[in-house]
Amino acid sequence: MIGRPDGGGLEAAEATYPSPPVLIGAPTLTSTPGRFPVLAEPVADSVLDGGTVGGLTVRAASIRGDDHRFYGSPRQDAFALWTAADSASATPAMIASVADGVGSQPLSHLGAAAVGAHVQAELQQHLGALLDAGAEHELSDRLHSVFAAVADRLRVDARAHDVEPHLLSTTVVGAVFGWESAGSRRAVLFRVGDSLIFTLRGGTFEPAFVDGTQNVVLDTATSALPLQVGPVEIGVATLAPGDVVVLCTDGLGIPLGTEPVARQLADWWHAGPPDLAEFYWQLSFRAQTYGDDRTAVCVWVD
Amino acid sequence: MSQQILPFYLVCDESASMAGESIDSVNTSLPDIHHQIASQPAIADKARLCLIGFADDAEVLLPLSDLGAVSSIPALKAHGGTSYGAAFTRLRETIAADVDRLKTEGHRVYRPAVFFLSDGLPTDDDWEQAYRDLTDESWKPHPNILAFGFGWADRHIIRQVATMSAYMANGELGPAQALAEFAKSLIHSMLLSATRPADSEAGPALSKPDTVQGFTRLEPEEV
Repeated sequence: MIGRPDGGGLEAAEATYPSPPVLIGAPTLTSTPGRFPVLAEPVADSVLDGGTVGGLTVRAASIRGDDHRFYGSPRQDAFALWTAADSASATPAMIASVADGVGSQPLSHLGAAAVGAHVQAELQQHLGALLDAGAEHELSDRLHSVFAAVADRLRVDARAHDVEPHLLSTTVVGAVFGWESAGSRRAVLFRVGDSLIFTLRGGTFEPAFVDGTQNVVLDTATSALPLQVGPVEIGVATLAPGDVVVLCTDGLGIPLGTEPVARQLADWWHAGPPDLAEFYWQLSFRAQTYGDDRTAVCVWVD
Repeated sequence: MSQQILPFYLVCDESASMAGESIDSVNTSLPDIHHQIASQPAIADKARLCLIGFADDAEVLLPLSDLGAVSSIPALKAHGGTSYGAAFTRLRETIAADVDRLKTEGHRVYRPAVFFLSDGLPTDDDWEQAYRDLTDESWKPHPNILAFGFGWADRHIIRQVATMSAYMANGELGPAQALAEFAKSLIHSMLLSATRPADSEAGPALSKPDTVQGFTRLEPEEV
């Protein structure tokens, strides 16, 4: 399309696909990105990824929230995926993590973007033991030492950026997925802060970690790396074919606590993985007042 | 349908001592406040606004409302005494009822924000008990209070009422712009997870700008 001679500039092309649905309220805030964030290092509005590994199908997206789009501020969420080439050794099939840079800290997008690689690097030293059911009693100590080391790495990042460590504050939630064995597989789940993991099973999203924020007036404080290493919450899941594991930031997790969003996403996802463009479209649903960044790693178990 | 609501309470002194420039300034500002909030969709989608006026008694002039549904804001009329006790008591009752109703409707409710505008000359002696009840931290919806002093406001009293920040109008700009700035910062803070770093003192979960043009910042009071 070219500029109009009357100086009206470019007109937006009429969409030839349906807009993402409104699932809550009647938002006046749109999803149209405004001005680019002014940053030393650019941060993309959205990141989309997907693939398969050993009977797992992954769809992942990190989408800037409509509030950040409106104010021209950067996406502060991130995800990271690491997959093993084969099942020959004691490696897990995949390590996935999702991070939510703490919004009150102006450089937290750097912490969120960095923490996934740090988690993966530290976990690599424990890969065999992590998924060993016989070593489960060591899991807590092991993961606490992993996160102490991850926090140290973030402090090093802070020094490299010449800022105080708390400026890189981020939550992180992750999972280590083992290989399929005799019809099921183990996954080790962990988190620091208020990001979430759900298992979609039988049409219902079951939270892996329960917090008590539903019935109180909300303050917005959360634990965050690198200053608050503990508590590291840990879970072990036994996954069966048909399960979908959803790792997400609270930008998705909170609206997922509402009936219309939970019902719609369960409808979409229980049937199997969507293609990449459809997944992005689904995660772009609109919901009045839920303007935070949304990031999800969804893992379908064959 | 479940939404994330940030209730704002605008509590305005309309006592006789506010007559003239002070009440005019507030009345001029109210439509501006409405406009500034309503014209920003990132704020308008989440904020609800309630207006309470007080003199000898306190009255809800605008019940907690979706700003999109509000076409005009009632004007204040200066009359009578200045009962802070009545204002804080009515405010607490109103917040309690509003928060209950919003939760029953399935909403998530953020800590209410109060903008308290007064000339700081209470005529009742026993308002401090009502204030303590309102700000009692064991009462879950206890609000964050920003206080703005007008006219000959007693700085000491304005500072005493604020739980977050206290400001004195210095004549450069009206309160509308100041409140719009606060609304924006509160929305930012409401949406984005805040943190209380382990190595610093626990502070309010809401962020606040260091300066608001047109108002002189009063430093927190030592106790």
